[in-house]
Amino acid sequence: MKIADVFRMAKDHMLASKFRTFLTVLGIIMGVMAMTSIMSVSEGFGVAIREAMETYFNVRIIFVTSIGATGTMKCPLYVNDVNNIAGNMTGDVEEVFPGLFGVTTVVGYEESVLLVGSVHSKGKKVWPSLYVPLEGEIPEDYEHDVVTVGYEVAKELAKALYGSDDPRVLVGKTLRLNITIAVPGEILSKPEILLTFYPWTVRVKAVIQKTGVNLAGFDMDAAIITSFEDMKKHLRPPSYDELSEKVMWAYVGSPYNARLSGSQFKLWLKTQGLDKEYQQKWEDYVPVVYDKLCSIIVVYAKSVNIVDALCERLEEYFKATGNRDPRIIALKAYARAIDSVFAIFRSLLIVLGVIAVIVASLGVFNTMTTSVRERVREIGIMKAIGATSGTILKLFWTEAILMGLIGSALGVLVGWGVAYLIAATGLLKGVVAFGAVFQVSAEPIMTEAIALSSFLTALVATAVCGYIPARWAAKYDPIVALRYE
Amino acid sequence: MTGSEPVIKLVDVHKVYKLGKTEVHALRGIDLEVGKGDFVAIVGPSGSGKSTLLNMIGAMDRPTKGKVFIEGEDITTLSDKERARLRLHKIGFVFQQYYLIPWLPAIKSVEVPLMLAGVPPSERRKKAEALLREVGLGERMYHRPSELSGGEQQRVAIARALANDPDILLADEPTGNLDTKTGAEIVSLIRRLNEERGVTCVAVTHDLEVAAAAKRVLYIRDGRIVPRAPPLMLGKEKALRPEE
Repeated sequence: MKIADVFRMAKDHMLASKFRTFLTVLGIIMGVMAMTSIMSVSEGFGVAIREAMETYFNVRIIFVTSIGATGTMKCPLYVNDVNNIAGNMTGDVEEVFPGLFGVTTVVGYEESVLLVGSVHSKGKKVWPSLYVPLEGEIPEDYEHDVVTVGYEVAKELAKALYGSDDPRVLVGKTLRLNITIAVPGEILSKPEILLTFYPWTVRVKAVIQKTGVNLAGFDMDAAIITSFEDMKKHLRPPSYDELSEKVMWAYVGSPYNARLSGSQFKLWLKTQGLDKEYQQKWEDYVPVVYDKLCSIIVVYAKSVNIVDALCERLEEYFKATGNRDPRIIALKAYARAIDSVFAIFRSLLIVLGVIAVIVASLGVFNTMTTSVRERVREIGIMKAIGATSGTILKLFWTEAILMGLIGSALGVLVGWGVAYLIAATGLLKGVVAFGAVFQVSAEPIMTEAIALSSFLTALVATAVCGYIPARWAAKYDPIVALRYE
Repeated sequence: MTGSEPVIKLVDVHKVYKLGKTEVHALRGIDLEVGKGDFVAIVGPSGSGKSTLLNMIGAMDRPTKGKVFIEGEDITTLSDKERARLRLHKIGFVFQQYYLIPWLPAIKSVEVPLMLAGVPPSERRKKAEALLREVGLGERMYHRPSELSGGEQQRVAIARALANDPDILLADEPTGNLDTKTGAEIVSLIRRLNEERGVTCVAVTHDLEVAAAAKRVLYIRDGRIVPRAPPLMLGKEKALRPEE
């Protein structure tokens, strides 16, 4: 029997038993639809998440930080490194700039607040969607004594200083920052001394919108951000001579445990015979080393693909220059981590999709088995008039495959439609949410790969489930089949 | 094959069925020869082995012992596939229950054996139409079995049996489900096909009309061909031209 005739016979029978065929095909459509829509929705989620991460986290960023995993200074980073990186790796690096971290309190609000010194213009470029004012304007790089305030800290300050629930009231107001630093061990190794400077008056130029993002260890929402130069200036340990003028309070640690004014502290150093040492070591350390230090270097790679290679180059650079081993944090690694978590999620969805197809295929199995039982006499007739077992197998199997073909093709189309319907109803919006900032609206994405894999999986599953009953049909003895009631 | 060689030849054919622990001897040493163009009626009571004998000739079943030759070829040694091919090309079956595929219209039913033989669509359509006209169903070609009378269904079955121009037509109680008049029409149709087409016909039957139409009548009883009519047939012997 020619293959075209096998198809013709199978088609004729399908048309003759329309209702049964319809129900079976409907079952396959439902299964494939579920699989396709699940896969396209999860693909959409994947792309939405990746895009969100590129936008919000900016996976091209590499943080080089001097702070080790335990929070202690691991190795020094210098402003000069910024220039070296910019000069040596021009092909790979789009931007590179330093950052400095400190701690301050605000007069009228005694909690400690993170103070960050950075380059405003570069921050705007690297975090276009994060470093965005809720109110006011991001300062220009040449402006001094101006700050931007993170959303959460702005909220607290507005309440504490102005009794307002609206953080935006801070814009245009002045803040008096009480910066506290520890006297570096390079100047005085013992006892531990904390110096709180006289307030530094700054004007709030902008309140940053809520980000919900923690960047390489600092919470942008809980920080006050100023320029790198201002930070350098205001975090600088004072020389012996500057102590009375700059230091409001000095906290002398164990075993003394005293709080002294600047001039008292100066006197205390003298009485302890530490004044000369302080002055000398200050001169050796602060202008020579301290002024050149930074806490973090932000490296902005030219593309995502070179991030890994750039990390390696940076590692080599720091090793070669003083055998340093700073923490190099690539956000691409975060992206990869979230990607892998998402991959698990997606595998789960694919498993669900496959289960849907298996259920649909069992429908085919059920239909074909019932069909074989009902058509036993027909099998006997066919064999009596000269059909071989192979022909019977082909006839029944072809019918299952045809139903699989139609059901799978329609299922892919319907699944596509359903996926878009889900998107249109906005069911997915906000499902992918990491904090307030990640309001991702995931559009289902239908790729050729999804369409093809759903189609083929369903087709193979129906073919397998249709083969078994077809084999049973083929094996009937013609006489037994003819007598079958 | 030589001219004198029988189309059908059975040599000492036995068939034993096992029903649990009981052995049923359906055929007990059948020797039979049917020449080309012959029309043989096999008559016997229920359970005498008529249908079993027909299934042996039609390559539907294998004997427990003995040999069956069709046109000189021993079909007992053929594979299932070869036997199917033999049924397709050399043997046409007509059954008491017609055994038409319920969802196929008459024309397609007749086309099925042609389709199995790989005949191209236009050719098989022409042939099926001609055959249906030949059996008197020119007007009802596109009717399904449920829309046809018993006699019409049997005509479709006969047309189907003749589709691949078989040498042998095997009829198992062809009039068994028909009224006398229709039965007589079917008998005369088979007789006509035998005479006009030269198809070798073997019919097993209870129906004396069928037997009367045959050129030879064989009696079968308890799985053996008996030399004369069994008691219930007495008085009809002459009319039936029994073979001694």
